[in-house]
Amino acid sequence: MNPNTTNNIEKQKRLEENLSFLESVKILEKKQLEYEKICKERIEILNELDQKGVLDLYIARKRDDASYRKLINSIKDHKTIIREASKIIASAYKCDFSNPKEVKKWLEKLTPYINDYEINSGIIDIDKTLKSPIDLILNELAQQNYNFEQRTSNQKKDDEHNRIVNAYKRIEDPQFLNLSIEEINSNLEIIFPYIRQELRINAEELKEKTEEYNSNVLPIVNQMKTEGLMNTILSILEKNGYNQEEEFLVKYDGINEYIGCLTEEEYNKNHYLEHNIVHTMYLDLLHFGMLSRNLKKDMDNYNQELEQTLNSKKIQLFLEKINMKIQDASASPESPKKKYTTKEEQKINNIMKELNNCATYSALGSAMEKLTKYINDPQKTIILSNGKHIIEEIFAQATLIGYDDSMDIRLIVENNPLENIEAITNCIKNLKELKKYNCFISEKCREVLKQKKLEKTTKTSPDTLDKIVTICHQVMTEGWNQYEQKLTEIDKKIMILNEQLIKIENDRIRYANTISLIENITNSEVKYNASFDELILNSITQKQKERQKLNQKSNQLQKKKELTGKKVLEEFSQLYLTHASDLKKYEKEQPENEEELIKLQNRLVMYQQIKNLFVANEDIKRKAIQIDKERRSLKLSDIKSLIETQEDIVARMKDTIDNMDRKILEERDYAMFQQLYELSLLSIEIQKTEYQKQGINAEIKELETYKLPTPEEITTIKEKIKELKKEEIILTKNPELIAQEIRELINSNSRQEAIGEKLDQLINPIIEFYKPQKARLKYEMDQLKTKIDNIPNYIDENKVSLKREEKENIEQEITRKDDKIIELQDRINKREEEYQFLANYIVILTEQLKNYQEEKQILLTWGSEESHSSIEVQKVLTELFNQNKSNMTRINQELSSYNAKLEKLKQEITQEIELDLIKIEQLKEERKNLINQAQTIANMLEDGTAPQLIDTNKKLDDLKELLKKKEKLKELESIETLKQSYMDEIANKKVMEQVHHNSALSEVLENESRVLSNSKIEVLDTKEIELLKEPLSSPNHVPLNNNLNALPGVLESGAQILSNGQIIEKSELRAVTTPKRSLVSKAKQLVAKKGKAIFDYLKKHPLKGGAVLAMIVGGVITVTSIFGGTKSPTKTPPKNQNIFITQTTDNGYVEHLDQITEEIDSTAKISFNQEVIERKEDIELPTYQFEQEYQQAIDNIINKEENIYTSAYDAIYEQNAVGADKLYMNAFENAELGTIYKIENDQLIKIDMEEAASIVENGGRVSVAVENEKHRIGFITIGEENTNQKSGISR
Amino acid sequence: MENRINKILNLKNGHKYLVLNQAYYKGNNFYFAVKITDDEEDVTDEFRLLEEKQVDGKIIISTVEDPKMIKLLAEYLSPKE
Repeated sequence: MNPNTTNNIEKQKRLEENLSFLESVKILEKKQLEYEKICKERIEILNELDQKGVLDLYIARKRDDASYRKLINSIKDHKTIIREASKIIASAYKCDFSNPKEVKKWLEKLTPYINDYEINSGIIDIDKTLKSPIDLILNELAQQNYNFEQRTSNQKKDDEHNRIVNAYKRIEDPQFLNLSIEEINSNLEIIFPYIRQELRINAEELKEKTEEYNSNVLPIVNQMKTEGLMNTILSILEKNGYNQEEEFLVKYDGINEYIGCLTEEEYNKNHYLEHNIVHTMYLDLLHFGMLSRNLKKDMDNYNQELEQTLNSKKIQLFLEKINMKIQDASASPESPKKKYTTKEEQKINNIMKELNNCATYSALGSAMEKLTKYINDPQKTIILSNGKHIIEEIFAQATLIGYDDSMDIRLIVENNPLENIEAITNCIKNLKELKKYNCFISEKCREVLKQKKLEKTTKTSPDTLDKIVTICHQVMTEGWNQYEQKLTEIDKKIMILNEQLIKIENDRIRYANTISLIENITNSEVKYNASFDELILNSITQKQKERQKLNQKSNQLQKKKELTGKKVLEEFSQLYLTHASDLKKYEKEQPENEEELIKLQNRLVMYQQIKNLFVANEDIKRKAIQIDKERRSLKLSDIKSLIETQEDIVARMKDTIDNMDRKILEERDYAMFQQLYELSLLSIEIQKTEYQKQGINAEIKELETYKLPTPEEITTIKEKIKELKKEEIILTKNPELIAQEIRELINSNSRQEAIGEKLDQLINPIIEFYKPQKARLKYEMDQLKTKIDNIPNYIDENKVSLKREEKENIEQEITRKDDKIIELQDRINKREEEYQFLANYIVILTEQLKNYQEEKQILLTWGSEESHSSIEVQKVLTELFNQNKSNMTRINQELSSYNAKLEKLKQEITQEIELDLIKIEQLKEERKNLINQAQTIANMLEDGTAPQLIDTNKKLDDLKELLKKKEKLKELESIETLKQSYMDEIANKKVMEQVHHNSALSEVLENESRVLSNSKIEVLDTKEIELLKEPLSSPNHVPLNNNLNALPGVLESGAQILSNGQIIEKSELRAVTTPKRSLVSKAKQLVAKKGKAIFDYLKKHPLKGGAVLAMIVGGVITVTSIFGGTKSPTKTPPKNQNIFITQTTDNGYVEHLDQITEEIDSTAKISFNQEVIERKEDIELPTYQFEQEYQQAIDNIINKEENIYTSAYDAIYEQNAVGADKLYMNAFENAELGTIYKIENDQLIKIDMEEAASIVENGGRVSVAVENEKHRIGFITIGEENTNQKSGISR
Repeated sequence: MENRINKILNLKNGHKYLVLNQAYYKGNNFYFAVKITDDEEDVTDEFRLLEEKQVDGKIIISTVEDPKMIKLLAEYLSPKE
């Protein structure tokens, strides 16, 4: 080697070394300055702490004094280091740079000092600018396991104190108000938190700070007053005093309102009074006031408590003294005679004992009262050795220890002896309050306070008082601990309850899922058994296979596209450029040939058209992905419509190609366009495959949620199903319950699909339950109807007709009998007439005979007379007499014959009559029977009780039963109608939802098309062509390969890095413990193996908006965010998904990287989509605020209206039972928020509820306005004619 | 601020993390931690970036969610070789 060259190399080397050295020195110099500054600050702080006595206190209190000394020493060490470093730096400048050895030596010397700044105990301070000197010290101490938290907090506070003092100084400056808003704000911001923090230190300081605050901040406020605005604000505040937060907030609203009313000019004039500052300031004022009050209360309580304790001790001392005196007095020979009985003495002694045991003045007072009763008798007074009455002495002593007279003691007696406890309770309450305001006074501070108090209050017996304080402190601590313990217990209980709640909720969901699953299985007649898991698994496997096929197809298509696409696009751009240059050339060379020029221009325009369509088609896919990423709102249906858009574009492309002027185009152009068209078709085909894949993925995901329950669960579920079946039956009887449940569902803002499902679940089983019954009943009913129709014919034809004949026969017989009776009667009458005639004739004969006898008598009388004794006369007489005699004989004969005849006739007639009468009686009897018979038949015919009809009657009963069932069927139909109405309602809502959704979608598409139409038609340049190629060559796939290469350890182990599933950890820290040594070494090994890979990856591929973690387990991919990459859809989703594969496939290695990339891409999308779908119902995406508010108002009103509607419906349902009144009242109860109007002369007149109720009750109608604060939305009319009418809501 | 490196964080939800590395940034502590088993005998494969916060006087440990912070922590919390 050439020696010159060697020399040059050496020189070069030395020069480099020298430069490096100089640089090091400079660094060290800089570091030294920094270090000096830090040390200075530390020393200042220490000095300041020292001045405040905090350090002494700290040293005195700290058990481990050695650690403090170490702290001081470490600071001293730093001083030494600085000093040494300074020396080294100073001498380093004298270094002979020409001597490489010396340079090297200096470098070695300097390095530790430089490194001293870098090595930092494993705790890395990231933000050097924010690094506080105190933290530096603490870091070092922490490394040595020193526990200086208390000190840290004190020091921190002092550090902040410095800041606040500076801030105060600045505020004190009269120029303060001339500062900018930001500056004022920042200064005020420094002050307020500090004041709050200061409160934690102690009350003494607090008082100072209060004064400081009042003297520093209030002047500013006053100064602000002069500006006018402040006057107004303060007058509002001062008028009411700013003691209550609520009041303050009201006032704050007032301030805001006031500021809102200011003109721009006024506002600008008062620019520094920007309301944020005012708000912050007054909020702090308020907090400050509250805190100081609380603290004061706390301190008062504490003082009270302390004094109580002190007093009790004093009493004890005093009583001891009294006792001694009493003893002295008793022992004194000069003491007056005591005349107490033994019993009395005993009592007095007891009271004295009680006195001795007094711990408070109140107890003392009560004991003394008792004592007074016994020893008030002057005769029995104990006079002490000093000649004083014992009571006087006691009172005198009491005065000595601070109580002027006995009244004081009596007052104490009257006090509640529990006051000590109360004081402590108050203390605890106040502590709680303080804690609430994040202002808990530390026990340490309390100790300090106590100590200070002790110094002030006790000079005589510090030991005793120390004890008292200790006891007092114990009591307080105990109280506090109890409170804490209670809080913890409550926390625990709440936690347990929450867990139970979650469990119950989960169980409920699982039950619901499983039940529906089992029911599905039962419906499909698949027996429910253990192979169900297999069934699901098989389905999943099937789906996975399908997906695999689609993947392969997609890959093939992709490859095909890549292969042909690249070529086609190159050719396309080539041709395009050729045509473009042709045109330019032609324009230059033959501008006069216009025809050819136009032809060439047109050809280029066609190229542009085709290119634009092609790009538009390709863009839609990319834009869909982008929209998905940005908005996370793409659904499968959206993708489908995007594909349809693509299809439209490609169809347009085809039309354009078909309608092109072939004269303009060359054959190769046409062929090229065809190729592009085919390429676009291929692109759509790929998209379609993607779409199918996503559908399958969703199906798989759903299938995966199906889990086979355990046998116990199955039993439970089966029981549950039984119960449900029972319920179902019950429900069939209670359609109103179903209606209720459905209404509840609708009211409870559930997902519409869920309501629909629930509705089906509820009603379909009932309908199913009824279907067979319905059919059977119909059949039976038809049968019976036929039978019933036939019954009258049957009766007429057979039984009834026979009976009627019989009846007629009987009736005829009756008639015959009646005739006979009449005949007989006639005969009887004739005989009677005959007999009567004979009897009359006998009477005539008897009359004739009587006449003849009279004649005979006359003749006899006449013949006996003398004048009449002649023969002649006698002869005539004799003749006459004879004649008379013969006549008489004849008549007698005739008479006797007639009498005999009559007698005979009489006998005959009597016999005949008797016989006839018997016969008549018989006939009558027969007739009566016949009549009865006929009546029976007639009755039978009439009411169908004839034995032949019983069967018929039974059928009739069945028929009636059937009619009842028919009514039930009507009920069922009403349920169906109800269901239909609900379904319609739901469908309407769905339609609304769909409309909403479609409008959102169409908005997206409109934007798309706007973007597309805005894209300019211009000649492609090379860059554009490259861009055009980009999606085809998919450069995004490359980083994945790199990623995988970057994570060899990860892939080898297949381990799960940065766990999925429970991505977000959030919990309270319960404890920090020290692990076993073995665990730490295991962790270190794991970190060595994988931790580095993670961080290397993260460093190489900086995350944008969070990364995505992909998991491939058994071919199924789930994608979740890692590192807490946000899962909330309200935040911006990852824009550049860095795919992070942490599991290999089940083959143990990743086979087709491209394929996996595809899968991850699509699955990632699905994952986000699913999330959005799941959260859809609780996300409102208002276009702008007003719309959201308006929508909210509408929703509220609709809900309200539904309530009214529901109530009205309920009431209608109950109407039969409770009457119409309730209906109206129900409706009113729910509508009370709306204004009620009556309608008179086509005008709405506002009325109150009572009047409305009375109108409705009297059959009138009223309108209830549904309105929000600003708008009237619509009316609901309630009244006789429209009891449940729901008027339309006009928006 | 306490040094929690090689210490176990016992969370109220029952999870336990071994702190592998710690950072102090803008007044808050951040940890690179690995989840350990309940019996504290073994480590799992789950690594996390955790953040310690004071909420209502309680110390809350939560996963770091801010991507910028993750990036920053990735730079600083990388285990030393």
